Amino acid sequence: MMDQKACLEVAGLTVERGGRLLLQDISLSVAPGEMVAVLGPNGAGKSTLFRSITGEMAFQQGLVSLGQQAIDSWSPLDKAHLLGVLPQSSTLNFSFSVEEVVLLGRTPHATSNAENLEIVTAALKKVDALHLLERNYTALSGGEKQRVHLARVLAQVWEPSARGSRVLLLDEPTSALDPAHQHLTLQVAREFATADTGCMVILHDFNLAARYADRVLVIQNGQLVASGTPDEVMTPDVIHRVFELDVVVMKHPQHGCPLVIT
Amino acid sequence: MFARVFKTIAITAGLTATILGGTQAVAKDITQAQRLVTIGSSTTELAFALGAGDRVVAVDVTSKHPQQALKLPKVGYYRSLSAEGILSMKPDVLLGTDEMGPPAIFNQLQAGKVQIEQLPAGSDVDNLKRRIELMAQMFEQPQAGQDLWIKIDNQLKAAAKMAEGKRPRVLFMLSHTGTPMMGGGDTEIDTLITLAGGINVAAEYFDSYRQVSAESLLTMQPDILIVSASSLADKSVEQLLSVQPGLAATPAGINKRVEVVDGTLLIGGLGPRTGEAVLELARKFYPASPSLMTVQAN
Amino acid sequence: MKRKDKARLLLWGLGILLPVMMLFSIATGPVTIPVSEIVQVLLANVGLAEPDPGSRSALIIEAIRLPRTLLGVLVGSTLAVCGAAMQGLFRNPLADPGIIGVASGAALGAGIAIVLGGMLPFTLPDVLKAYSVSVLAFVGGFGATLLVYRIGTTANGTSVATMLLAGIAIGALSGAGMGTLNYIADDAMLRNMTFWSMGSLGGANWQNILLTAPFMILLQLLLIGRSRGLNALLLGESEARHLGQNVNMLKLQLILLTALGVGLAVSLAGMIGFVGLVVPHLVRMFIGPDHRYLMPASCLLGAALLLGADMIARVIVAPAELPIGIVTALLGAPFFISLLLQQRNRIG
Repeated sequence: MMDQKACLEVAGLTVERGGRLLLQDISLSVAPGEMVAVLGPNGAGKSTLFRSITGEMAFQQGLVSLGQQAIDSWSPLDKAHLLGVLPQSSTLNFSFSVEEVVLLGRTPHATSNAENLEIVTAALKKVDALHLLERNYTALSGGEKQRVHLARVLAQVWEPSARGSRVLLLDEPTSALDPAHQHLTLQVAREFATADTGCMVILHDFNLAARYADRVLVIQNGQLVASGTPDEVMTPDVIHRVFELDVVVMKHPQHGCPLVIT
Repeated sequence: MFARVFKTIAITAGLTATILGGTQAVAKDITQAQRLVTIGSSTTELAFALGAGDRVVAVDVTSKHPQQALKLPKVGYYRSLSAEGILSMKPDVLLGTDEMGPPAIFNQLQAGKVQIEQLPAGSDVDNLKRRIELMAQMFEQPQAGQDLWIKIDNQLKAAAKMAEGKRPRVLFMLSHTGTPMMGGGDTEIDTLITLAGGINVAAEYFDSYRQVSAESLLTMQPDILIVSASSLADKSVEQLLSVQPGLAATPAGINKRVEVVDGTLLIGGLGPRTGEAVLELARKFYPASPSLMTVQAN
Repeated sequence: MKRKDKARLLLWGLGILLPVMMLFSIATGPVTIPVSEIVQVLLANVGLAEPDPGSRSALIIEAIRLPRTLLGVLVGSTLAVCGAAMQGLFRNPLADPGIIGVASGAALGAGIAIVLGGMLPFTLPDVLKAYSVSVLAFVGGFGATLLVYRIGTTANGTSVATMLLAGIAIGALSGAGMGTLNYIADDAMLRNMTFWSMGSLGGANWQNILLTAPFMILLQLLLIGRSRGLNALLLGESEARHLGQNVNMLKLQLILLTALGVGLAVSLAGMIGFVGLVVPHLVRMFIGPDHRYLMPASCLLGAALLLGADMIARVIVAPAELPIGIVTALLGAPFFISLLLQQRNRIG
């Protein structure tokens, strides 16, 4: 189980709230260069898993490590250099400009202002939102806001750190996006998952997961029920068992990945 | 650099120490003072009564007697005076009681070379006598002070003579709008009622001004109700009684014995008009008194 | 980019406005002092002119207007900076510095000093006796905030929402306490409480300026130093944590600094409303919510506005004086409403 190369590792994670078992003995790891998708029906425990990893939710048993080191032993600042977290939605309702919002991603860094602005521009460009640079954040559409926050998280973990490999945690980053931007977002995440960055992303769309993830984890009722490459996991059998959905799975004519037809 | 500022600081600190040390009411000679600011209705009235009226250049907003004082510039309420506002009147002396404030202004005024005289505040006759003496000394008018006191004292004695038989139970009600307040012990009205030969029933229960419930009014059983002129305003006695259902059932309400006093007599200590006011109350308390005839003799 | 230039411009503008307002404040008052004399006195104070000892103008300027102007700057800037910090912490542009109970606690403390002054179970050292209202106002304000903070804090951290509710509850309790004090108080005490609750810079003297200025300046610098943290907090507490902020520590610091700052301001000048609410709001409308500019700009504008309000308070009913809280509310409230209306129209 112990993977020496893992940049994010979860071992035996169990979360209980009010007598209800939300997560039960979950173990997983994300290696640098790897993109891991987490699938599961509503209420399966995906967000609980996510929040336990980021430290927003206490867990009863298990261990979460970032770069071979227990996650709560990192100082907040060092952790922020390695771990970029994109939550499902943001409560920001102050009229920052888009540039200022993305610049917030540079909060942990001591880099110069000029350098920061360069990174902000590059990050916005990556998510196809550079044209929004001077717009008022509060006046953006939901999808635009989501991309701006992705740019913010990218700007946060933009450069390699001497502290270790970086990790991107994205919670449903495509929920408010049009199809083109859904693909763009995952391409960006995929691109980021290079030699020293691992990426874990919660998704709802089978085909996005199948196309961009190296590995797919399926969670049901707080338990890890399937794990492996998209080819291994995306089977009519698993999907039927977990999602109670009858699907046809074929090979994608262009990309070769599984194609789930509902 | 800033040498003068620090010198000022040193001076004000020194003055603060003096002020914190306590101000004793020691009469100082202010005969030479050409410009006076008098604070508090009673202080202003006494200054005018002792012949210093033409030197008063400003007063506080409670000073409404005599007529001449009304025309003078007002430097605010006696508890929230402004140092520079007073300085702008270019006074030599600020004369008031130890109720005036805020204390912060005193060292500023003293830095501005204004002499500050604080007389002891109080609501009894001894206090009035003391203040008349002190002020007369300050103005170097001992004769005027003596005359004023003798006049007041004679009026008080005359009032005392009128009291005969059962002393009336008296209640003072302050009611502009809403719930009325009753004047308890240790107030100017308490002194006036007592000197006029009445019993201030509220003083049996509390000091200063308090709200009293309609039921408590019944237990107090006042024979006479006093209201201030401004409380009555344009209301009739019947209207006034109807506002407080408890009052109508008291002896005062049943006999419609409601008397009016001038409200300016009742704040800021007793003043030169106290004697007349007591005398007038005494006449109302004892309308059948034979002494009534001899009163004007003074 | 445009906005940052705007922010820089505003900071420069305010940096010029404040000294100008200070000069106006020194030149304004019921006593008319010719400008030439004012210049002479000011120059003499910095050693550039021959002092004229014993001149009445010099005394008025040095003993009254200078400390009063400095107090206005200290109180106005502190209230505005603390207001900006609380609006950031509560992620609510309508929060004011009193939201954590400091104002209501201070009012209760002042009320206790005024009404029960003579019968307190302890005696203040002689130095503080003259300042018992200030001292108890400060203690009350700070104590109330600590209580609010305690109520809002569990092992899992501090809940801003719980603190908000606790602030309301403590406010209600203080209100009941004030009501009781009002009932016990005699007429004179009532007037004193009323005047205290409307604020005044009239209590300014060199003693209290020298005693409190270092603290108030330091508090503001520390709060301004929390600007990046406040920016991160606007995203939400979790996001701020992900951005490397020690959120619980940051919250504690903001609350303590604000309680100290507002506590000092209130104890020096009584209750002065609207500055802490309107000033940061106003600045935000011009340059946006970036605290790195918002905090210093609020500091400067708060000081300038309070000086303006004080000048009006001093002159309008001279030789008497209006409580400054009346002026700030009278100017602040309609202005605030007009801003809200404009903003509403812009949003549609």
